[in-house]
Amino acid sequence: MAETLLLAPWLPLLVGSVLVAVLRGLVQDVVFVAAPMLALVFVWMVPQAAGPGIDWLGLTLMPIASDPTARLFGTAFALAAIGGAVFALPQRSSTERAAALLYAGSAQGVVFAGDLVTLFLFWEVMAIGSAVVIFSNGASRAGLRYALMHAFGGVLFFAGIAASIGSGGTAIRPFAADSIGSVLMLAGILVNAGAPPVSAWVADAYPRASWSGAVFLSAFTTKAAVAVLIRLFPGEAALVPIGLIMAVYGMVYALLGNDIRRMLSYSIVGQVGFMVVAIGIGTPLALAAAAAHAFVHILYKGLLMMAAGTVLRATGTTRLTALGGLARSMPFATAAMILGGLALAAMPLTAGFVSKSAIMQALAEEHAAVAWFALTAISAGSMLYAGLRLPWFAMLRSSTPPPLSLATAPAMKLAMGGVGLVLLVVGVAPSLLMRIVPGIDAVAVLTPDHILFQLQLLIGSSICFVLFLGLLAPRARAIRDTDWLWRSLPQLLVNAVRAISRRGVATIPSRAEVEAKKIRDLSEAWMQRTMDAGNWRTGDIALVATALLGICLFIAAM
Amino acid sequence: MTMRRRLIAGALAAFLAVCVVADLFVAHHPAFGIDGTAGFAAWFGIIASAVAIALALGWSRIAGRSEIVAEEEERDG
Repeated sequence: MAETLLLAPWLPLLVGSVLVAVLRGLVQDVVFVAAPMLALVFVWMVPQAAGPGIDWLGLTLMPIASDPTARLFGTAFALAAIGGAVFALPQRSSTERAAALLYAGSAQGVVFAGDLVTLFLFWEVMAIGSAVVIFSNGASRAGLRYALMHAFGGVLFFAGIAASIGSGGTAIRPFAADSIGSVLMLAGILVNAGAPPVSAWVADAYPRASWSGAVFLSAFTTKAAVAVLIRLFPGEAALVPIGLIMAVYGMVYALLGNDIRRMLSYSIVGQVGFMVVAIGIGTPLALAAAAAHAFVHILYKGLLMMAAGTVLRATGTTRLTALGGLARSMPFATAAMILGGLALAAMPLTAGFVSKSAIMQALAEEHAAVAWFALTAISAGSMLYAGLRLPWFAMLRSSTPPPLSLATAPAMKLAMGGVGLVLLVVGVAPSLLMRIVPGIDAVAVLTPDHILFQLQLLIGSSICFVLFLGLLAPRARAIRDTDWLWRSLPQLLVNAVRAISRRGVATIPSRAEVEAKKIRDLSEAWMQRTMDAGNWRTGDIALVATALLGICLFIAAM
Repeated sequence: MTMRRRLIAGALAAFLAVCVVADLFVAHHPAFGIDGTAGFAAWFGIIASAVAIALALGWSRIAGRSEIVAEEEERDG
């Protein structure tokens, strides 16, 4: 039994994280790349069964339990970590490297967890690892906002788990959102998935990471949430409208974006929306299709983030308004961006076509007409922003390219080439993906009607792009997002309270002026601190998180 | 519209027409009826893309912020 624990895919990554933190130079490089490779080997070596239980505080924890879903997500996470590590070899930040391995290891822990408590522990470690990836680039404010959001999601998730333990123990099992506990649990998972109304954290945080850190960030958190939704809430009807909103939101904001990595972050929300819809449908085919799409999405989004990171490292910017004309000087990144964009748009002969075909067939078989027509339309929109707008304005259009300060390193080319090759091979031979996702083996992919259907959809979209090119040109503008709720609304409320309190103070009789001044001084000091909502101090964040935890535990205890 | 863009749009339209003609000769497996008609994806793709662009531009008018605010945010963290 102990041998099973030693084969846990998260183990080499967590050990690697510690080693990377203390080692330097070539040895650190070797450990950084070898740890995820070893994790991939373990993903396939660990027996397909629940591992040994460990008694802890009266609970039986199961740190390793493998099944086909765990193996699929574990493979995707390991491939993403390998690709990300190779790509990040020119990145010398030991903090980012250690955090990235911790992040990747905890993501493996989430999908291989055999009980809810273990799942939650890895869930929280994942939040810490990802936050440190952002902090390591010096983005302290964005990192704090990210940490606060995940503390909020974690509290909801924990309260939900605590409430659900009483009615079935810590076993991982399907839930229905019909009690306070399960609703809290679902809400906590959806926070990590980037669902509304908190979707904005994805585009707020990911673009703040370094050129290499964003590659790791794009792979794990949202897809781990998808894996957990597949396990805990298969067939939950509420997920269908939530997923559709995510898909529309992601497309609209990606179409308007000016920063490449912000566009890709919005696109993550949109594509996770496809998976969430499929999980809401809940048939075996739909669940397998959601898992397959998560697998493929991890790869093509990783490739796109690598291309964006290459541009950022070379030019110092990812703003479309400052880019263009880079195709000749950065052919590798250009090819990666085009391939990744086409895979996202589900172009035939790319892996994206295989997984999206599976989702659409699952919707068709269930006669989910609204979801099918909406997601088909959004697929056309995906072609607009990912397959056309992004590579055209960033790389292909004639423009004076910005000066390149750094050439693309061989390791970065190797990583992009490797991931791109996997996307093409799976696209040409869908049976390879079907072998690890047996649930989609009945899906007709490379048939004449499917290929013609998708080609017509994408060519129709391309015609619109050419006709409305001027309207889609990037502009230096920001679009108000749902983070307005926690970054601007508190400031507006504080201003309103301040105005009201001033009016109130003015009406207090003169004999109470001393008391009024005390109140005013106190409230102004508090207001000053909370004026920078979204830029809270660590102590305030800890206080709020603790208060939220208390409230949720109180609800759970009820 | 420049001549180059017109040529590209024309070439894409011609390619799309070829696909629609080819679509007449393949067996479809519709789930909702209309999705099995030849050329459905062609017109649906054009309309969906136009609607997506209109939706995005409409939303940018409602929720757009000034360039100054955008640059301030760019400097944030």
